[in-house]
Amino acid sequence: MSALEPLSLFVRWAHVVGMAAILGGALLVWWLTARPFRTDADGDTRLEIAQRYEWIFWAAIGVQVMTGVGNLGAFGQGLPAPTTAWGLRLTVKLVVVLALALLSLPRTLAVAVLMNRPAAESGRSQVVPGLYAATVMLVLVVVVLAVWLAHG
Amino acid sequence: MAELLGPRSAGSERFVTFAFGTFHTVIFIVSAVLVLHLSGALSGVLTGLNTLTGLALFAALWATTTWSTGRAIRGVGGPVLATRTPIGSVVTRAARSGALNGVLFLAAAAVILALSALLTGQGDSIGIFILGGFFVVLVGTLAGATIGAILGVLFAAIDLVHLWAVGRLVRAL
Repeated sequence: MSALEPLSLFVRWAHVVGMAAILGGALLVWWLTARPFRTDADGDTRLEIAQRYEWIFWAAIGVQVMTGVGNLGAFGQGLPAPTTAWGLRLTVKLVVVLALALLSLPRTLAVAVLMNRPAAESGRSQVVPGLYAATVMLVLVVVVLAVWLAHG
Repeated sequence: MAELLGPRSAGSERFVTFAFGTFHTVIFIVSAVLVLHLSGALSGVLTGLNTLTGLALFAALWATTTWSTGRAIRGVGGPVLATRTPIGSVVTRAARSGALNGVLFLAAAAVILALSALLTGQGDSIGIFILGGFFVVLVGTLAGATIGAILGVLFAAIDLVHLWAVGRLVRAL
């Protein structure tokens, strides 16, 4: 076993854990914001949880890209060309990841803005569950593409 | 956008800086990988790097980009969203911070690649990095600063569009 094999395994593990954090966290925040606690009438607790998720999301998506490129590097010269079926799936996955990042920044900024609004106003927000629902859908597309790339 | 963040904005600066910095890094790297993949050059580029070197280069870019983003945000007068900074001032600040980011990343990349060459038993090639160091100082700094400034302005434009969209979204609530 070469010295880099444990590192490659760690990179794959981190890639899977990062995706679990992104998807699981988005699902949890979506559920919590769509069905708020009775004790959280002003929405402060929901936004606090959402803000903590946003930290995790951006850390995890950074790790996803870092380890994702590492996984591609493991193919070496055997990386399929973009004209192959596998290469086309990779192209689609990269475009969806770009869309996920582009659409996630407004979500993060919306949470930051609502966090700094008076509690009575932010409690009325119905946009937050919708933003997390959209995130879950996009992340699920990425997951399906990733599984298809790995095992298809 | 002054009304977007209120008196609780100070605590949000670090949060927003990290999000913007990571966003810029992710968009840059994924776009680069996509372009290299579509042009058929990706395997050639990745084969030239071992896993550890690649991870270190990404971590360096992530760190310098987040730092320079924070510098740009602080430079426009405090927590982002909480200021009515003129667009011209934002663009100038973004270009300066982007240029600094380009130079810093280039220097970090030179150190990482030199260490990688030493650690993987390619010590003979260290001379290339010493010569390359002169190149970095003379030409690389200019190239890194120029590319960084262009990317900095491009990302500032994307960020302003995002801020405008969020402003409208939140006002509509």
